[in-house]
Amino acid sequence: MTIDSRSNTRTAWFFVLPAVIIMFVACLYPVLSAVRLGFYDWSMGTPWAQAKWSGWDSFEIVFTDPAMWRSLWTTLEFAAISVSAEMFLGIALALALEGHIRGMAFFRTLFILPMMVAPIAVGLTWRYLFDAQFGLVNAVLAVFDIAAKGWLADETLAFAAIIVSDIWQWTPFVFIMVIAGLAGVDSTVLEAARIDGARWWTITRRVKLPMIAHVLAITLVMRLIDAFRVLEVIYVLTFGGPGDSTEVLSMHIYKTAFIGQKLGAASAISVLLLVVVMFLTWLALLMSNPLADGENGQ
Amino acid sequence: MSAGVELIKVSKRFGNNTIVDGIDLDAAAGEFIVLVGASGCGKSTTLRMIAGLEAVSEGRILIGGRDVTVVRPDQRDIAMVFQNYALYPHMSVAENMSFALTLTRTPKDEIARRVGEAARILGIENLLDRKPKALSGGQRQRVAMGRAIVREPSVFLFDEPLSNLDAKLRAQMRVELALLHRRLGKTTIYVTHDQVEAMTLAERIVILDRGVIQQTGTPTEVFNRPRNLFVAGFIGSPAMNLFRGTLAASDTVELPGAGARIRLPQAVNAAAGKPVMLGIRPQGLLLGGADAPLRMQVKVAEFLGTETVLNGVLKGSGEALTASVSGEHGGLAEHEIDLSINPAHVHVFDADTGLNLIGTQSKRDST
Repeated sequence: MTIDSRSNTRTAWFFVLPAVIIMFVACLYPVLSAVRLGFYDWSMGTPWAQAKWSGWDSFEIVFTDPAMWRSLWTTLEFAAISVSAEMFLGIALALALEGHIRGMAFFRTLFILPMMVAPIAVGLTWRYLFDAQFGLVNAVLAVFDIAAKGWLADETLAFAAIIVSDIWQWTPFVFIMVIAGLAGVDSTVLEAARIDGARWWTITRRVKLPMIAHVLAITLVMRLIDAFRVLEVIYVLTFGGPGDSTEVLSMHIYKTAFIGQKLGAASAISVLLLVVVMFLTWLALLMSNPLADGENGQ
Repeated sequence: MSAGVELIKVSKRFGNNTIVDGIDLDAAAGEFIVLVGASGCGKSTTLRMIAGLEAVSEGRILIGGRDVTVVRPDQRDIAMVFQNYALYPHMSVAENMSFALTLTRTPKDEIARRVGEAARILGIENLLDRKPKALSGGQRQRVAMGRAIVREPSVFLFDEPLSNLDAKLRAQMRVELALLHRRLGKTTIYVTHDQVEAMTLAERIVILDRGVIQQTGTPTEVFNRPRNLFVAGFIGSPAMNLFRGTLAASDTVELPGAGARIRLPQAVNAAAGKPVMLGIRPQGLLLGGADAPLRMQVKVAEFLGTETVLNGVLKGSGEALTASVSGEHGGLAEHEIDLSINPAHVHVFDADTGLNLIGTQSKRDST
């Protein structure tokens, strides 16, 4: 290494180091703390010095707990259904509203409003909407002579309710990402496809969507991560019930930590959640990685 | 098979703006037509209307005698090469070239044959598996042409296909395009703002300004007999010198500022005293000579190898003057020189209408 290149390396570190420190403190430290906590038996309100080393005990308890596996399965189901629906609806809406049609700006703004509402407020709103006695959903069903349902009291319907509320809130996110991606598609490529004989559906399927594959991948990753971490809406809407039918992992972690007072076990589940999300992220990025030297750019 | 392209009173308006104003154009089957003009003159819009990418506001477009004014782009039997190549970035070169054929369910062996043949013609056989991102500008341009060739269209449309290439590659691709046209013999309509491309490639040049055709003719015609001041100023590099003057006699123009009287190559049909613009090509100015009527104050001498371009002003009037002389005269900057005139390069234009008073109708189709 020459003196020049050593100097260049030092300069590079000088510029990058603040970001590295902030990333470490803000992102990595909490993660590492959670992992460490998994190896201790500690109760809230007691000094950390009194925490006892418990080794792999918490992990063993967690991995042999059927409630945790049920919760993981519920989370996977929830994420798969809600994210699939959000991706489908978000892409469809973006394709429908991407054109330059009068008044479209108003509809675009309208469609992204749900994303701006605080999740707690979303939970409360949907709780009232799904209310068996006074809820709007049952009122609408009554118009069609359909009997009122106990949406939040039935295991299947409660699960459907949390999915509907998630789709309502997060489809706009997919919509806004996809519409931004579509805006960046070179219009001459689409014109070339028209001259080549492609119709709307073929252009969409074989040209437009593949050209924004990296946007779709990053959107999918972000939605998956969020779907696995979902808590507030379910906390307000069902609190994981009835039974444990809507007890996703975040809810399970919350209950284990703050109701069961088992912080070590809760941390161990958090680590599991982290591993699952990292695996799914890796899978999604394997399909189209926007951070790699992409093949989709022109 | 090649097909002619005919535009009949074609106009394009966006709101109150008229981009193309009632143009007529008749490209014979197999002909290479170049639409040339400055930015915003309507040349690309005209090409896009022929392609079917823009709706025609008024008029008709015929390809091979068939009215295609409202026909979809893919049904017009045309192929288009875009300025930015417009390749499908997620497809390989082979997939880019075969995309149109897969849509028409062409048999696989036929697709392979056509792609292979086009790749061979363009010298890109070794690139078929690559993605556009892994290609240079010149290679991408070849792929774009390959994509057009495999469709075996009757008409090729080119929208400034060389403007994203560097000067050396542009010159090389120009030659390749000319050879390709000769080989395929298809009607080609080519849009450019570069007059060198227009002059070297075209069988006929169509010069547009503000949506109106200013002149249609062979490169020789538009260079030697520009119909009006716009064409005179646009075609030719360096641009034609234009001086304010008065018609002293039917064959003489007086330049009052410079105190010179210039003999025209032929008499014009206009009254003496008429205000005119005298046009002299820089190549028509010769150093010295026994009867040199113009005196030039040279400011900058641009040595270009075989020629030197002298930039300065006409002594007396102060009007800008450019002369193209032999390369050996590179040291004339800051000098005063006398210039004589080759009459073949002299033009005279009506100062009011801008029309060439010497006349442009040297050939039937020159408009």
